[in-house]
Amino acid sequence: MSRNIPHIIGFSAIVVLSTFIIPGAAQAQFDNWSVSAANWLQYWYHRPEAFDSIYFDSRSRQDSLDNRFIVDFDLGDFYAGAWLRVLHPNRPDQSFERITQRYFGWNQDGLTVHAGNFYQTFDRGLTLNAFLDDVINFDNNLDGARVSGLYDHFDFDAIFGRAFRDRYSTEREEILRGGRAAIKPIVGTRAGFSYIRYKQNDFDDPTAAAGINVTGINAGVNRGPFEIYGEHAFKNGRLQFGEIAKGDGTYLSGSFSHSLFSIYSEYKNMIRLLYPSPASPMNSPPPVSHQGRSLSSLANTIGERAYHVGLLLSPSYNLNLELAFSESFDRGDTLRELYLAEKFAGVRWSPTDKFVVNYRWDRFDYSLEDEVQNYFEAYYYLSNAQTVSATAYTKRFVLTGHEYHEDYLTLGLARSNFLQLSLGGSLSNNDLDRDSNKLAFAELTIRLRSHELVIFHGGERGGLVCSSGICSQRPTFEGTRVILFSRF
Amino acid sequence: MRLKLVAVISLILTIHAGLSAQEAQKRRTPDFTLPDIAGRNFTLSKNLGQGPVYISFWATWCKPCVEELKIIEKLYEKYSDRGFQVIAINTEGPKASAKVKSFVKSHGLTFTILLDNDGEVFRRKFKGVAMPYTTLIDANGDVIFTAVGFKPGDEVEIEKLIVEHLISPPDTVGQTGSGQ
Repeated sequence: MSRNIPHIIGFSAIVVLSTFIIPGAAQAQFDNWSVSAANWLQYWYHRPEAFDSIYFDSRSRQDSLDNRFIVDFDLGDFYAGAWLRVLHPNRPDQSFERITQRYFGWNQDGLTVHAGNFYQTFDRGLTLNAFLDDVINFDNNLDGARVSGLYDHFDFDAIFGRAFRDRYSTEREEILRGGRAAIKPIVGTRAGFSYIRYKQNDFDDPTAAAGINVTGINAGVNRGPFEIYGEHAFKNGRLQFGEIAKGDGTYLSGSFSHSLFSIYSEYKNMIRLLYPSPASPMNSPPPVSHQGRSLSSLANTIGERAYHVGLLLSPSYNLNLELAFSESFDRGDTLRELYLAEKFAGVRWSPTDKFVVNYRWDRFDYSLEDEVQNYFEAYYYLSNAQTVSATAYTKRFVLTGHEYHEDYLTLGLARSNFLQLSLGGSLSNNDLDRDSNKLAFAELTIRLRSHELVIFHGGERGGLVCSSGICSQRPTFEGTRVILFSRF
Repeated sequence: MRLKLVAVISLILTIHAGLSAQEAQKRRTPDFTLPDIAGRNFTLSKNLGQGPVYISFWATWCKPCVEELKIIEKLYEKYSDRGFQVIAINTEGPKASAKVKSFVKSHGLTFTILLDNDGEVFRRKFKGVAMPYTTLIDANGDVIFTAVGFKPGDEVEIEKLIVEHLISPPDTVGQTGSGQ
């Protein structure tokens, strides 16, 4: 445990100093001077993941630390900032301490010039989607420069940046250049284009570079209750092994929105569009499903054709119903021919001012695994500022001919924006991951102005988490976890 | 053991220092420009000066966010004519673009909805790490309150703060529809 104590002391000292120095500095400067910071400290004292025990030959408890400190300086139209991260998980090969992002820029009347690290999504992501999602541990930020303009009748972004080779790499080897622009002749209408040139080292010829070009066009109308949008992108060039890279993709969406009922729909058809690979893409069209799963994210398929339709019903403010259905078909892989379908039904009902109920049912029919999820949650007001809650969640899935279940129950008490206490547990017959099948936990959250302190003790089952069309397996956690999030 | 003790003391000092410092100096909320769901640009600094502004980062999959927005809508209906504004910023990017407008309409949300397509405002300007992530600011743009997470019942304290910072506050603090 002592391994991380110096870090905790160090970061606590930074936080303490920041709380004194930053407001003082801000007070001492001109009106347009400001400094802000946030610190997110997470400390685990836990049982190593079963996967880790293969490497470390032990399931003894160990500690881990993850601290992220963010600071920003603003002076009039200029800004600068940095993210410092210290990560010491129980696997020593993944430890690091470094400045993960630093940036500065200038912003005036809709025009922004930015240098350093940044995230950027071009339209619906068919040509570029660089984003951060902690839930799936995905971060494909770019390090370079960007010039952006956001105006009433047009907007544009021009970028240059270096990217990681894949989601597990720490070296920036690939270079992206490109831009996008759109005109908006009248409010609610738009038409635009985007282009990306992606360059990487050629493995076959070290003196040469392989390059991929992705070009997209898009248009949309958003007037009154109607909204329609379409985007098409095509890819050509040469991959780093000399292979010709040709692909394309289309995304369409439409919706009708009304206070009583609304309909939304999406369609996607793509083949070999993702670059440099489906597992770690720099572009990612919407997943076209309710929960964010897609064949390319689940099975790294090179292409898929999918549609998604949903219906929202609102007979009253206190009753909301949602039905959704999606299907996805493999493209380009005649051997596997994978299929994924999702059926979703959800209801939120507040029969009285004191009582709120949420229920969701989600079924996945997937070539490799069928799954059904049920989620029930209820809140009851004990008084104006005090509520109790109960959450029950079950998951049934069939994998390689066996049926597995995971059942969860959580009871909670919340008091006036200050204190939350949760007690919960889970039961499972899932022996695939070598994790414990009976887990229980207690979690306490204390909120004091701009600080949140969360103390968790017990076990929390992991599982598949999908977001933004990218899926990740979150490990099971057993032990004690302390999170302190502060903003200054 | 001594090291552990020092670590605990440091954490306690952290919280105490934060509270003391914030009492002495208000934080200014960062300015930003984002498109709304109708395609118009919205700049925070151009919309200050009327009263307190409640800024919430949310996603359609985030159930506490939806509970929060439904409850805050009632506060918005109650105090919007006194200058209170609500800005709900969707952070899902392209994956939910087809759904956000329908979702907002069917849940009866009438306040401003913005789209933070690549998360730059949420991640970088507001230093958000989880949702719902909420900031309440006064008419000058100074931060009154921030919070990660929302549970029904939290609105009582939030309403008190809103009422305190209305430019012409009423004589008595009202109650929301929930939890009465």
